[in-house]
Amino acid sequence: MSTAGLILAAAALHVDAEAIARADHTVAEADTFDEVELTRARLGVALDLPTTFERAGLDLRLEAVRSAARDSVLGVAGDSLIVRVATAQAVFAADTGPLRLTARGGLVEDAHRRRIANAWDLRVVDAPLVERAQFGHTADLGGALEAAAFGGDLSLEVAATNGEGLAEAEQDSHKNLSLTLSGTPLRAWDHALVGSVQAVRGTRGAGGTRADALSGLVAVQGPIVGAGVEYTRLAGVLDRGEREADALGAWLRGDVWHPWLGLWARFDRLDTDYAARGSVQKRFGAGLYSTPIDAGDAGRLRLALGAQHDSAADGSVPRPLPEVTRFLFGFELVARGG
Amino acid sequence: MTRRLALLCAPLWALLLPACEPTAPDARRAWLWTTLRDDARPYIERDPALAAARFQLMDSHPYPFFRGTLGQFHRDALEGGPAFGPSAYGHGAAAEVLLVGDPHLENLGTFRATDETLRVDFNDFDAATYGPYPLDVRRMALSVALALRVLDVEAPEAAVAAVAEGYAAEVAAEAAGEPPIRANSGDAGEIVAWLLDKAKEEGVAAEPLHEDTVFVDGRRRLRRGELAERTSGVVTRALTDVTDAERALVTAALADYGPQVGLAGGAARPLDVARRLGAGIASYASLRFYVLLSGPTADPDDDLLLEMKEVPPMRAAPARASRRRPFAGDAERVVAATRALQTDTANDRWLGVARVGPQAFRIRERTGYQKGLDLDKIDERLTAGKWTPADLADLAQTAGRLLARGHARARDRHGRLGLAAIHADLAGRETGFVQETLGFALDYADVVLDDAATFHGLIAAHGPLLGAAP
Repeated sequence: MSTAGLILAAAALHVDAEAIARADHTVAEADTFDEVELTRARLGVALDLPTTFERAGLDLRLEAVRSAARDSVLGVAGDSLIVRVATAQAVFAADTGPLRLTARGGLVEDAHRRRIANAWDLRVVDAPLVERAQFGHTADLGGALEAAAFGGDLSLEVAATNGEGLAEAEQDSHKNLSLTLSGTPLRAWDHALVGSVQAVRGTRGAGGTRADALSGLVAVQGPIVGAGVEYTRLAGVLDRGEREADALGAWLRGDVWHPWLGLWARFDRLDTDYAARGSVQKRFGAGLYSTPIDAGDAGRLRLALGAQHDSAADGSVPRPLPEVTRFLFGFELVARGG
Repeated sequence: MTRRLALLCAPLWALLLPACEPTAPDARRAWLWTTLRDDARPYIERDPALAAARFQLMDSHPYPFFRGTLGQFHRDALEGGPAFGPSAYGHGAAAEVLLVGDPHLENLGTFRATDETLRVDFNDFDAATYGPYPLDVRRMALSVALALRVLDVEAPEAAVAAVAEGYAAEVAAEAAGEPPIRANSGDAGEIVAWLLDKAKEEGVAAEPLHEDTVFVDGRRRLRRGELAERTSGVVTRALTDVTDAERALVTAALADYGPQVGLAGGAARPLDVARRLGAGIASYASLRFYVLLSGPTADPDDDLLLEMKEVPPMRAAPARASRRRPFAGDAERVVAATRALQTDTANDRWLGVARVGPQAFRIRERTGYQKGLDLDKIDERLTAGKWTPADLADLAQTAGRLLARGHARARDRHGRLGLAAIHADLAGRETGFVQETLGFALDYADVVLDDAATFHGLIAAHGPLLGAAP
């Protein structure tokens, strides 16, 4: 067997899978619409090569997405569900004593967004607002270097990426720079207080339109209670460099009969043009959830139902939006192994 | 609350992101560059020479630039761009109307209806979609405002306002039970009368069959080569040989299309096929073929000329988000809108759809009875004193009425006729509608002229593909 073969034979492989599906009944003015939707389907593979360092390996994550945006006529064979690469990053980590250094390269995951997604653990109800509003990207082509201390409870990461995200090739010669400071200052009773703040200096598109961002997260994470606030402010929106926008999401969930029954509530406020009056869209939702299978790190099955109400000011973009009420039922299945 | 949070974050914002807010012209320039490149990318990747020619044509004059920037118009409409303040019109059900999408002066043309009468109608529905009716009226009024501005016509207000006035008048008339406008006589004005006369002349002369074909060994064949003078060095009318792949594409498309129009088997086998270059502005780089078919008899006079045009995807639809997708695809959307929005549902009995894998095509007949209007002709006849600004106002009013008739009689996203919602939205508020439309059209015409100048600078600075590497 070749050397490469020997290394691969000794490598450890970890697999995780995630599926979220929902049935929605939506009422918009006099119109109703019923829909079953595959909200998310992901398959991740982590390959750890044998090394004397803390880690040398590869993370690959595939996801199913609609090939066309909502109400779009673009797409692959209509608007098929297709599989794309969500992240594909080589990872090298070394423990130097006080610091753990991690370098990532490739289609690298945005560390700050990952923390927001981890903190809001009811994706079956909605994606985090920063994702739903398409403020920036969950992953981008480039590299990142992280220094972490106190067992990972405090970390600082610098990343340089194309700035075009998952769906676009590089369009300009500028690179986006991001700085992310994260910490977990408190842990108690299986719960943790987490915080993260990120600043991005970037551009997008051929014209190098401004795409700067400042984003923050404060949240309590744990099996019984979850609560948090995410806030993102953009300078440069929809390829308009002069425009600013912001998004605020706040949530609270808690088990009332662990693990069978919990309550959730979430409020999102999106201002699509910070300088304009009447450009605000709001969403409020509340409901129940249950986690009949909770295997900790090995995965879980979670069910949720609830109602959401969307409202918008007259000047909201795009165009005056109707009031929308949505009733939803969904499930989320996460499994990890290897 | 978020404003307060933003204030709290301000020191960090200032520390991490030193002031770098671009000036408005710089931001608009960057936006224009980015969005034009994004929209053109499929063409740049497939055929950079054609994509460059399309940009060159757009750079030749502000009116082609206007025609090539529907995507930017839609973005401004959707995102509250310059001149697009909140409208007092087009809310609720009136925001779900079937729209022409890109109505403008050069998208007006003649058709011969099934009863063999000639009439003027809109002839391009590539951008048809659902949305608020004022958007179509604004686009049409903008085309009039821009045309009059570049033609240096003084006091354009009356002609620009005539679009909205005609629209409101037609809605009121149809709501009162009067028959819809049929722009089929000189009653619709001097320019419509001229168009109808030209269409009759060229239709009887069997153009463009004679213009685009020659006889070889007693059989009709499509001509090859450039058939018209270039504009600003850009090919405007040419027929070229097809490649083997293109021939296979056309053959597959005809097999899909034939049964829809009663052409089966051998009847759908073409006598000749050529690539048509130089048509359109927005769709200049789209695939377009001329297909010559044998008529029902051996007499070459009844041969049939079809145009097979790739339907370009719309990057930004002006409709508000909806889960409903009423059309199976782009070509189906365009064909359904053509039938719903034109006066006669069978202006063209050969109108149909072809799908070959992911590619969608709209197929229609080309006859001499289809005569279009162009800005050069308007300029020529205004300069010669044959037409006056009042004639343009008549044309603008006819265009407004045609738009209203289409919107009113087509079914909206939910299957309801558009008339009731539009009438409810507009009745008693017509004067405000005309003023709002006029103000918008004059303001946005300035935006288009500024953007055209910016685009000229971008081409000069970054080359024919705006810096894209083919």
